[in-house]
Amino acid sequence: MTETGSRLSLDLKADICWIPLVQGVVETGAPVMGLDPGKTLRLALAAEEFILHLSRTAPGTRLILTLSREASSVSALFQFESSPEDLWAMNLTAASEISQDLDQGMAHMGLLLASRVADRFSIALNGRTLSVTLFQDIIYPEIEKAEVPSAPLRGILSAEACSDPADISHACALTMTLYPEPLYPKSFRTPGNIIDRISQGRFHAALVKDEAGTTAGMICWQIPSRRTVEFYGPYLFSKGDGIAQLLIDHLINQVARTEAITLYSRAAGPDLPLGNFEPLAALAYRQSNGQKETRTLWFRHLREDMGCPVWAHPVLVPFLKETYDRLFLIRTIREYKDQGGSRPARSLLGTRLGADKQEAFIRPMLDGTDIRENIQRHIQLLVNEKYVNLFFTMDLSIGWQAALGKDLTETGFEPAYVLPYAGESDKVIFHYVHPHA
Amino acid sequence: MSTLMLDRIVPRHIRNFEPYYPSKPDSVLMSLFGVERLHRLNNNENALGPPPAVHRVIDGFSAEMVPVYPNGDCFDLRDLLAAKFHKTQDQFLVGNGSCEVISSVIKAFCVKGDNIITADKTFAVYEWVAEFSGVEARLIPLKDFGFDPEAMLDAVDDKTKIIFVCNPNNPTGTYWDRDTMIRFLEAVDQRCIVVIDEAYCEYVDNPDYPDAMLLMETFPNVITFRTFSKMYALAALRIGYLCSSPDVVDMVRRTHIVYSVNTPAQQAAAAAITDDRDFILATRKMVKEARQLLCPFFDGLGIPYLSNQGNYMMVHVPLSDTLLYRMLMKHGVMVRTMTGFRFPNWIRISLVQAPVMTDFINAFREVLSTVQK
Ligand SMILES: Cc1ncc(COP(=O)(O)O)c(C=O)c1O
Repeated sequence: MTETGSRLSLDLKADICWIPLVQGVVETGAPVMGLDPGKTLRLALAAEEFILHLSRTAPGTRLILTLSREASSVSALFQFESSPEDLWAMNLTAASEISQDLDQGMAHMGLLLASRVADRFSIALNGRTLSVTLFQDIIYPEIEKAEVPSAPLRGILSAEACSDPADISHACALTMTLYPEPLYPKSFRTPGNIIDRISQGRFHAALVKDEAGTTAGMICWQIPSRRTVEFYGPYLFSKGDGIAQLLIDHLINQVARTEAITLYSRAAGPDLPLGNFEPLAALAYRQSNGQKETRTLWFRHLREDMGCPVWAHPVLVPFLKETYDRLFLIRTIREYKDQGGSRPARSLLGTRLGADKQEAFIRPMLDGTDIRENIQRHIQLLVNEKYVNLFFTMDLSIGWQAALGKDLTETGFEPAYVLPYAGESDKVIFHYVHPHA
Repeated sequence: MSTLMLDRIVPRHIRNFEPYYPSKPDSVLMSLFGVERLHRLNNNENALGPPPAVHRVIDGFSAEMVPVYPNGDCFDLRDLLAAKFHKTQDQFLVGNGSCEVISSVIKAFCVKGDNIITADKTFAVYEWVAEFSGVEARLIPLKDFGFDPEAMLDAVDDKTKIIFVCNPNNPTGTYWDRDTMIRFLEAVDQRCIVVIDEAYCEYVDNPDYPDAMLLMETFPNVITFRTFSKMYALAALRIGYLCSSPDVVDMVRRTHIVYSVNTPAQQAAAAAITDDRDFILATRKMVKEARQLLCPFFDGLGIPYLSNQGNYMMVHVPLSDTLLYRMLMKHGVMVRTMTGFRFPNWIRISLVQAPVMTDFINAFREVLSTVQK
């Protein structure tokens, strides 16, 4: 066992005799890392179910369990060598299948439970090493909206990075007063989350202040993948020339000399200085009342585009060609269909659910011959549960994902936009078109 | 699990450092963008090509010369440089491009915890080498597009080891005149090394432009960087050098890799400086003519630009510079986007022969009309 402040790690063999030890590690470790008792219990339960499952299906397998604090969550990472075939039970839709066939189902009950009690999970396969991470998010207190100051700004305005908790909280509260909800991330309501992520370098904020120290505006950003930066804002709290441009210039200058190529926003409001960005797409976003609202996504590159190859199923090629021509992006489109080689039987889709049922994001995690049915099962479940916007993300640098183009369009998804360099190459985000909408 | 191991053995400043990915070869870019020819206006190269004497050296280079190592510290070339600048051989250190000597200088003077001072919007390599060496780079904002001497002096503390002044600055083309430079060096008062990067000095013919080769006689803490990549058009051979007082060079030599400069580069550089007068005049003439084409063109469009020293100019374009880059590439014209220099929505254009500048003008005009539609 090793321990380094925000990380604790156990190296053991999959055997039920270690269950109490694993429980103990999570139950003592997670609270030290800031998780509340309720969530600690859930994480301990998930870890227990996970090791139980492994002890049954692959006894004796070497397993490394790492408990760590990451920004605003505590995670349990399991790394082991195995075939990923059993992981289908982590599909959001697995419950109904398991309850239908209890005999076969029991062996997978643990995984189902583990994935359900976690707030999120992610899976990565590297060679034969499988990494499964279960996350529990830390709960932060909600804040109230703030009154907007009416005093005029004084002196010269300047933009600076900000990590001060009081400043961040206040700016979040002002944003909540002045902007409608879709234009800011939900975490603005619980700024403790943002402050923690800022202190760990996972989230960034900059404020424009006047000479008296009054906050005139804010912009925030994060780095969701190696070569993309997503930003929120600019949010303006006072009238004043050039506040938005100061914030945008600050943002661009902060990320200009990094590895990032694509700077984008999915929720830019009316205050975005447009000359700096290109429209990426107009998304027909559905409201809970059935009405549609067009949201424009904006982006810019941070350096020269050198082009790259992308895989695509032939059905997606016209959409990609149109997009790449319109955006002047240089891509070599390589057609790719299911090549008929041997594939595992069962696929796995990861689903991130929005708290207010406004949106659900599906991400393909493991390929399998049942993936088309699996996508259909997910659609059905999410539609039944009244999720309004379903999105599906496809990485065009991964052949088997690209090959899903046909399955997706035939099950009701439409390609909505391309996010350049969101993966090794681009990602395509599909939006589900409700047959009754 | 290999990532776990890397976490443990890679120092934090390396993990946090963003690697630089150079552009793809021209042939690849041409096929990607679907163009038959490509005008490279992105790297401040001298499109006239090297002086005639260099052609003879290159033509005379034969396969028989390849098995033998080059001279390890560029003996003949340093001899010639010493004669040309009235100095001694031991005042020169030649590198695989001046980029290599930047690295040698930082290694010689800085340890973790030290800092270097330069501008926020200048040649990026000073900042990069400092950062991946675990040395703080204090980036002082430009003032009116030029280095700000007072703010740079204010940033000096007892951990400051080197100040980098790019004179003239890439990309703004501004420079400190002799008085400004001397006042600055006096104020620094030998507390640290002052590097004056004169990569583009041969393009400047203003009488108030200071010559670091002379300043170092009074200020022994001055190091100048010069390169054969820009005026002398030897960019493909990778050769540049530094010159300073013998004591300073003696220290830098300890961290400088020997044998890093190959034989053709050494010979071509020697040939380039032996008879360069007419060649330099012809290049300056080309650059001047290019300015005379471009400045009125941008004036006519009401587009702001900076046309100062060096073989380049900067233009503030009315759209994202990276979009403009992609659109111009489709016309076979490659410019440098300036977002990476922290000048979003500016481009930098190398100044070359008139017909190429005319091609640029036509492509730019066409692209702008598509955008404005
Ligand atoms: C200011 C400046 N210094 C140094 C260099 C590096 O030149 P090289 O390594 O080719 O000698 C450049 C090249 O762009 C430059 O602009």
